[in-house]
Amino acid sequence: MVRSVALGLRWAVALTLLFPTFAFSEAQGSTRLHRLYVTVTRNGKPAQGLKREDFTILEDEVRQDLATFELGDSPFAAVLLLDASASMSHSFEELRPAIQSFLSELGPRDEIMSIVFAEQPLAMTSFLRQGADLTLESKDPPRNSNTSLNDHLYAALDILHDREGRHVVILISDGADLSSVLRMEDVLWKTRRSDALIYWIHPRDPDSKSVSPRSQTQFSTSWHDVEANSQERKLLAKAVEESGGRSETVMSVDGIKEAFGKILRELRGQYILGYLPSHRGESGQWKDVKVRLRSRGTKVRAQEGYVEDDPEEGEPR
Amino acid sequence: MRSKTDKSASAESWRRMRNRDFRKMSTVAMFLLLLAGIEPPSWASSTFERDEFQAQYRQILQTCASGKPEDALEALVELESAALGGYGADGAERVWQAEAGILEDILNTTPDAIWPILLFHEQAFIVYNERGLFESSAYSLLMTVNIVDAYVEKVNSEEGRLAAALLLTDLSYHTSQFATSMSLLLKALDLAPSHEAPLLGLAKFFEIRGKYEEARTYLQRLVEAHNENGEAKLRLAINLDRFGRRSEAKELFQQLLKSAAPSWVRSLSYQELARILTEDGELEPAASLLEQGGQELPSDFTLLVYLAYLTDRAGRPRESSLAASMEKCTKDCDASPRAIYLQRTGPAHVRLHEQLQNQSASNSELLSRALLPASP
Repeated sequence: MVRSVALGLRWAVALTLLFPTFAFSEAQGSTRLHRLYVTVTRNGKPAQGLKREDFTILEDEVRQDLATFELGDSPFAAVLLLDASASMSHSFEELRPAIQSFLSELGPRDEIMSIVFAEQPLAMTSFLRQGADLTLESKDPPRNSNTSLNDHLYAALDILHDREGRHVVILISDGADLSSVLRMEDVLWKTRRSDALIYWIHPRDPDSKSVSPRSQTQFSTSWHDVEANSQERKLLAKAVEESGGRSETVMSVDGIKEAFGKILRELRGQYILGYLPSHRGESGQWKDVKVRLRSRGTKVRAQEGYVEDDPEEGEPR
Repeated sequence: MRSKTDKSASAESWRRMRNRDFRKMSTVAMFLLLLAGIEPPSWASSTFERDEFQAQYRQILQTCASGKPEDALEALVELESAALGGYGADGAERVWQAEAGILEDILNTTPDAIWPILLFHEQAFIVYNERGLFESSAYSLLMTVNIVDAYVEKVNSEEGRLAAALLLTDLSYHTSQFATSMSLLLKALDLAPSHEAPLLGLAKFFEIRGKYEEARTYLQRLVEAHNENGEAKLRLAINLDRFGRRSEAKELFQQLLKSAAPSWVRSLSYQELARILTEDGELEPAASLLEQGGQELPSDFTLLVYLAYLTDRAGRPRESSLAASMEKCTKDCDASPRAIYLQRTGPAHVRLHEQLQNQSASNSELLSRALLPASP
């Protein structure tokens, strides 16, 4: 009897890893296996060789039992969001070689969709696999085009929902949203219901005097005043942090290429921890998650929490 | 090198020259003082052949009147830049006196023939701005405003004041300088207190700067005077909601959805009304409204994204994925309504400029005649 329960649990865990939407049956009290993609770095590089017992997970300050522990070289699906608006210092064509190189370095089962956007989507690919040619032809953005960052970030999270494997959004943008219908708090609502890691690469032209950090946050538009725009940017940074991703400022196209490489190394060096939450919260409740590590001199990054689903509704898109 | 006395005399002369009402043109005056302070380069020659300049200027105006405005523009830019560049107020003064000599004659004989010239100099102002020719741009703006003032004084008619207000509003759209732009708009509003162009211009001016209360004041005036103006109603509704006047805002959005407003105005009315409903906790009616909007405007990506969000919030299944909508949008999306809303020079400005061009075109013949040498 004990053996068959253990066997059943193992199958359930295996199924959950393969199919993200798989949920446990009533025997586990309708509790889903919750997965955390944990990035551990030592001196800025992925820390390897850590063991299960090195990790502690706290959910709402309550210690959780680890059900699964894996090294993270499992396949991922990514959406690369390229802001092509007037405020950006690099055009899509300048970035094309860096993206092509990124494609060539994917694992055999990784896949990536590229979307070029400004106020609206300008061009997009299907999900491409390792070594595919980036045959994307982007039309030119309108002159003095604005950015609808929030709308496209929401769409990227939405598109990833149905893909297998880990989910990643790589956003290349200065982070100034001007024309989205969605506010960042709407996107935050989505990110808290998504397991996607968000990486935000922020290119800056070292020669440009106009693109100062202040000019990117201290501006008003007909949609938002200075305070609201500043809040939007803070919430974007919060969404990135909560997702377990990170942001990075780069000063050149080569910098973007290096940032891609770092993201790939991070993803390959991740630890995937699974646990069955000990307490089911109310639907819509924020569950705070912390990952602690016994190993000294390391930095840990993981999704900082999630929103409890309504079991009747299934997983949100 | 000029002496201080020379410089102040020159600036004074320049100030006397702009002898119209410039009480609201404080920034223009500032430009002027800057011009006055520009030292001529040591190599600069002070030779200026007024007759030769006037002959060339007259020839340029004739080229413009004969339907070759681009050739005329390049020639004007070359002529004025050479006479203005580096000479500060002295240069501005002598160019003004030379040009004014010809324009004064035209104003005295056939005032409406001045319209093609006004638009021509406005175009020169835009070109100077684009090429970063600060001195020429400041001169061009000032001389255009001076001629507008002289024209209004001369014709002294309601029609003349309205046309002048339109031109000043148009000039303000091409002025990146904050206070100059506002001065031009206020001057235009003085000339035509209930005209939609300066009222909308001022509302947008304040809205872009996040001064929503000031924007609302002008929009209120605009809608009272022009209830049929869809863009004004839309902007007023958005700014009323910002100040908690939600029921009035809702009513305006509903009026717009029943009207034949342009599609970008209708799209934003759907979006903003849906936002109000969402904030009031009415997710289902908001989603239904956006569905209606999506059916009416199927190529509007913003409506589809917002609908996707509301459907997700309501926990309802969706019929189509956002990936498909995005793919479609890369091929056939119209301009983003939310981006149109942000534009300083939007559809209303295009209409305004067309009006001015018509005004100019209908007077080209007059200008040609006015430039003919007087019979002996």
